[in-house]
Amino acid sequence: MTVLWVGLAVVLNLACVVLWRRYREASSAPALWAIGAWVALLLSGLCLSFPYGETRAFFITLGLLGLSGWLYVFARPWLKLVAGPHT
Amino acid sequence: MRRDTTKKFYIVHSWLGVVTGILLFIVAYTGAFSVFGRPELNVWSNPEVRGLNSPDFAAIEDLVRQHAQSVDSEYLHHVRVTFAGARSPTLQIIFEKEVELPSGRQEHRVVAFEHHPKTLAQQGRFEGSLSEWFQQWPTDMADFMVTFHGDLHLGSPWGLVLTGVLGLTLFCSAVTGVIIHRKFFKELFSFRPTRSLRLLFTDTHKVLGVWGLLFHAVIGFTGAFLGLVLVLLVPAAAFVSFSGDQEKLVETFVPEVEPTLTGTAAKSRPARILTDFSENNPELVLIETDIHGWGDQGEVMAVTTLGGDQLSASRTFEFNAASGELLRDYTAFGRQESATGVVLDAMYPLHFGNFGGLLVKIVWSVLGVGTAMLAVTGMMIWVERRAYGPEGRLSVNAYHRISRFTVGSCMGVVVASLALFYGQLLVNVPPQKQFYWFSVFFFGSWLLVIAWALIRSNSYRTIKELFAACALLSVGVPLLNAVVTGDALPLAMMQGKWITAGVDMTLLFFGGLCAWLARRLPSARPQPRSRSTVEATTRPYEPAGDTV
Repeated sequence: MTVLWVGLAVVLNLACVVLWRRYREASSAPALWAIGAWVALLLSGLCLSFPYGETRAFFITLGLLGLSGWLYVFARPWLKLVAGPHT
Repeated sequence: MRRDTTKKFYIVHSWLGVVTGILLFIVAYTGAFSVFGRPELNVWSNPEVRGLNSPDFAAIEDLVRQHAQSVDSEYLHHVRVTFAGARSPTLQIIFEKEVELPSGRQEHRVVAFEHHPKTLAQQGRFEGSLSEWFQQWPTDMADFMVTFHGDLHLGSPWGLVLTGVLGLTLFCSAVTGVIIHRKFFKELFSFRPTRSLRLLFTDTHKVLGVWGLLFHAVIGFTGAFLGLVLVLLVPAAAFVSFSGDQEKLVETFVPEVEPTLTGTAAKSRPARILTDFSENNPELVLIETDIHGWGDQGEVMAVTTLGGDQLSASRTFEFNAASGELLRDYTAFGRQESATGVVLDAMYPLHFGNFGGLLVKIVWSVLGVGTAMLAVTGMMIWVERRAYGPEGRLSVNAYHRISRFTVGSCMGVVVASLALFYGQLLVNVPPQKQFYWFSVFFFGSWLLVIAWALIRSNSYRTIKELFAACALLSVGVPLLNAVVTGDALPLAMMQGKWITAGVDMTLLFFGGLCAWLARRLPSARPQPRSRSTVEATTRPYEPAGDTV
């Protein structure tokens, strides 16, 4: 069960990063993307609080957010390169 | 904020980074390594505790009873049993008493018995003071690395002060970095690896810094606390609140267990208590148990554990050893039930990431490598701006020498940490000489790498060569491990030695990563430009988002 909660938290953390990027780029209704990003982050923390409790989940969420950000930013140019020029 | 104020913070940020950059890399990298020091690397380092099952508590109780009959009754006031695995390569049964020296000072004297972790056969007996007992403890590569991270093997107070100050500078760098990085949120996603070398460095530095900001700040703050607590904070707090009596301060926060002895003999049942406890708390790792008042009806047994659901280095459960009743449980500093205790408890696990199992350790370790990379990219930007940009006052060759020294020092610590694995597997000397030989492997390989980097003229090629060396060294460890201990990776997995297999697989992965980097990194500086060309095309100072 712990693996499931952690997996879900990681996905939500990555979703938070992607939504925040959408918010930065959005030309219409950017607030919705920002709210989505915050909700994803909170849900990620909530998922982690089941196996780890609130206090520890808070720090783990922030740690995961750092890793998600690095993963997204550093992997994106490489993924673009692999996917080709039309993406 | 005014432009000149930002510029002042920029100068503070860059000089803080340059002065402490290499040391910060060393401490952060060894920190990322030390996250797995206890118990993973401890277990890997000691083949006899690999694949260890739950202790046989009944057999251990029998041993304690046997030894209790062979020691003086004064030693029965405090009996400590340290289980093999998490902190010790052997099972240790220690009988302890307090004596008053002619000088009036109190000294702890011990009679200690060492047993093989699996067969429980007696391996040694020691009688002497507690400090002598600690001095003759064997060192393994995990202990060597964790201690190096803590005080750079400079000891107390200077080593602790140095690492504490480094923690402070990391924290200050995080704060000044936020202040000077005016496009903080706008450039969260800026990463332009193909535009120019300088942009690659600055973007990497900013992305590492911004996304990991809270981690860097937490690590800096807790590192400063852990480094300075014994040297400065405890004496200062004792001076303010306890008239300078440091022992009284420590006793207030970490009081000793004081059993209420009745004088009535009773047979305790530690094995039964420990068996029930470990069955009911499978998530907790038993470290040691302290029995106070052996054989008395009021005998208290304190079981120290790792893990659990609290943000604390350890958690202790006190039982009445005769009745098995749980008297109380508390964290390392939790007996006072104050906010100070909660904060003190959080410092160690937040720094070492040992508060949520393997997941948190992996996250903390990768983030720690990020902190190390933050330091080294900062150094690269500083050199790049001065050697090829408008800010240099020394000759280009002088900056190249700084660059070569940085490469040697930083890559050297990576090579040296891998060399420690070889030291662990190849060195077979008495415990007293282990530290010396680990030092030879660690510092010897480090110095060799620094020398190699300094004599090579092309730092880019040196980095490639050193990554290739790291790849070979990493991949070689599981092979040598298989030859020396017989624990080949598939065999270790089949025998359920998951920690050993995990360490070996991590090394293979790290080796693969190093090989990939050795292949992909450029062997010369991309787009070399002379300073005069750059000076003609670049503005003298750019405090905006491009500035780190």
